[in-house]
Amino acid sequence: MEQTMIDVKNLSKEYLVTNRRDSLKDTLKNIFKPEQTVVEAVKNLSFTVKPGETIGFIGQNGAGKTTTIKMLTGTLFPSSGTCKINGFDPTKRETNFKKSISVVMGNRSQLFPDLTPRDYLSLLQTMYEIDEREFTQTVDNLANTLKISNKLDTQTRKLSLGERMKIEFLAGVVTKPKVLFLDEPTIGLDVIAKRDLRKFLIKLNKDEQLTIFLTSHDMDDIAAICDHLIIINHGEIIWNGLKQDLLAKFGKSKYVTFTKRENFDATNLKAKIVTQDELTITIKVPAGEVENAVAALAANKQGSDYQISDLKLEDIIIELFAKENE
Amino acid sequence: MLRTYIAIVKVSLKSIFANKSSVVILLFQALIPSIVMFYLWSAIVNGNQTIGGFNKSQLVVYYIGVNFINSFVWYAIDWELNEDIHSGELSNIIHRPLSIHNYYFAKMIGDRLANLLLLAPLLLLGGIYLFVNQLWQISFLVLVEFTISLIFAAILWFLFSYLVGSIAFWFDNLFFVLIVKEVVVNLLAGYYFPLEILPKQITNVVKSLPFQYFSSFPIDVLIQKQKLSFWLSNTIIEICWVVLLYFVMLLVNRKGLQRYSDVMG
Ligand SMILES: Nc1ncnc2c1ncn2[C@@H]1O[C@H](COP(=O)(O)OP(=O)(O)OP(=O)(O)O)[C@@H](O)[C@H]1O
Ligand SMILES: [Mg+2]
Repeated sequence: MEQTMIDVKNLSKEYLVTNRRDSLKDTLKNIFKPEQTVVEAVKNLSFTVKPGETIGFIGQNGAGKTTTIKMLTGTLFPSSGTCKINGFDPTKRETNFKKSISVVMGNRSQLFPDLTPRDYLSLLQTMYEIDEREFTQTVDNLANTLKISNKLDTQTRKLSLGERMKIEFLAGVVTKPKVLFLDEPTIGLDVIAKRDLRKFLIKLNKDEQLTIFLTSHDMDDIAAICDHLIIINHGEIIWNGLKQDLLAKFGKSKYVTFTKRENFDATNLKAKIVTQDELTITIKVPAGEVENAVAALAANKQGSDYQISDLKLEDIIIELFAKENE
Repeated sequence: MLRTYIAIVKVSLKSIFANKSSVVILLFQALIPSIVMFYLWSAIVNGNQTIGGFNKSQLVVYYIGVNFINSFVWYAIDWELNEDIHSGELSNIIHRPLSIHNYYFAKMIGDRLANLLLLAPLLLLGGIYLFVNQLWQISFLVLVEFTISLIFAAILWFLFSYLVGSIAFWFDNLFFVLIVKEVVVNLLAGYYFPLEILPKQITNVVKSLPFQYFSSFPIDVLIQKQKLSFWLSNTIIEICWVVLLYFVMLLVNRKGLQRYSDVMG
């Protein structure tokens, strides 16, 4: 087995964007001498992923996540740098490469709206040359896990968003890929559907050693599914490591949230303010000093209703970005 | 690999039948222009008059024939490609183990077969009507020639439209281009009227372009008792066009995909 499933070296992507001008004269200028600006969407990314890892690829809107996924899956060519997936160069678009990956994008449907999911799935079975009996069994199994068995023969355009997404997932994995790329796959799904999908992915990763590369703005998705996090900001990596390590690094602090009282005075606070509004405030306190800090605040009648909590992944990510963008 | 494309043909065919509304629209699309054109020409040509060598009953056959060919050949691959490129839908095909042009070709075949199946009863009725009323006699050889020409017409049409659609790799808005193309090609293919009614020199020029093979040539084979050598020489020229366009298509496709992957993905 390959030692690395995904190997990215100095990967960059620049887009040339033509500035639109409005007047007629400018339109003519646009045609003959377009004014272009360069957008550096991805800058010099390097990282590796081992087989069977679950990657959470995190970044703010416009950070370059989709651009990276497109390069890794071979639909977009890098401006410079290289990537290797399971030993293949995606830009060569070899059939065996295409058969070893799957892509599911939350905002782009790959299903055929006029046909039933079963029609589509059986097309995939032929396309990916998968044994028919084995295929039928996998589909039944997975459809059960996803609680979607009763929708396989409904015309796709009549499915709800969540049902359709489940079929996209099903279609993504029945082809038996080595790597599954997921770009915001849980957009618009209800809590139950999200839970089903997370369970589904975790199970697949365990049972089949499927490598998962996931972007999501829902940190609960990432927390549930991923064990390796790559965080990017404006196209550059700002964190690459195990989720455990990130949590541990920030685990030395806790958040204390309380309701402000009449004596409240922000200048008296020694701790860092995380958020506050008219009535409540959250401060960050080193784990060992929480009791003393709360006692002191209480003694000075600064607040009431104290709540102490660990930093959630989401909090940590917000802090990371805040620090980066200072 | 071939199995995949056959599966795509089936899926494409099934999509048409899955939508009742598209079936109805299709029938109207095929019928209305034929009827309109037929009445138009009936009004112009009367009695035993001929126009461009066509008498009234031949004109009837001409329009039925043109629409039959139409329903087998003319698939808006250019519009579809334009749409898929600009919406990014094309990426869904790029990352599948498929070749893009074969995929679209298989899709077109499925779609056209669906059309043919739907229109078959009508065409059959029309054919029987013409036959019974002795408006039309046809030999087996002509039928074979016609069928072969029809298949080449479909292939040539595909290559041509695919090339036109590929312009979308380089330009944002093809709407106007595609509309104009539609009218010009219809005209040059002989969809609006038989090319023979044009002045001689113009007919000669138009007939040296590939467009006549989309409609005019197959229908001529069908209704103008031409010699075998006429069919053979034209078919050889048509094959040359197919080969030429095929290589141009491969080149444009490669460059286009390169560009798509550089700027859009
Ligand atoms: N086809 C394109 N042409 C020009 N610029 C583009 C193109 N696609 C993306 N960009 C720009 O590249 C940057 C990165 O975009 P990308 O879609 O990769 O972000 P993202 O991390 O996926 O964001 P989101 O979370 O909003 O989906 C953005 O600034 C975007 O405007
Ligand atoms: Mg994105």
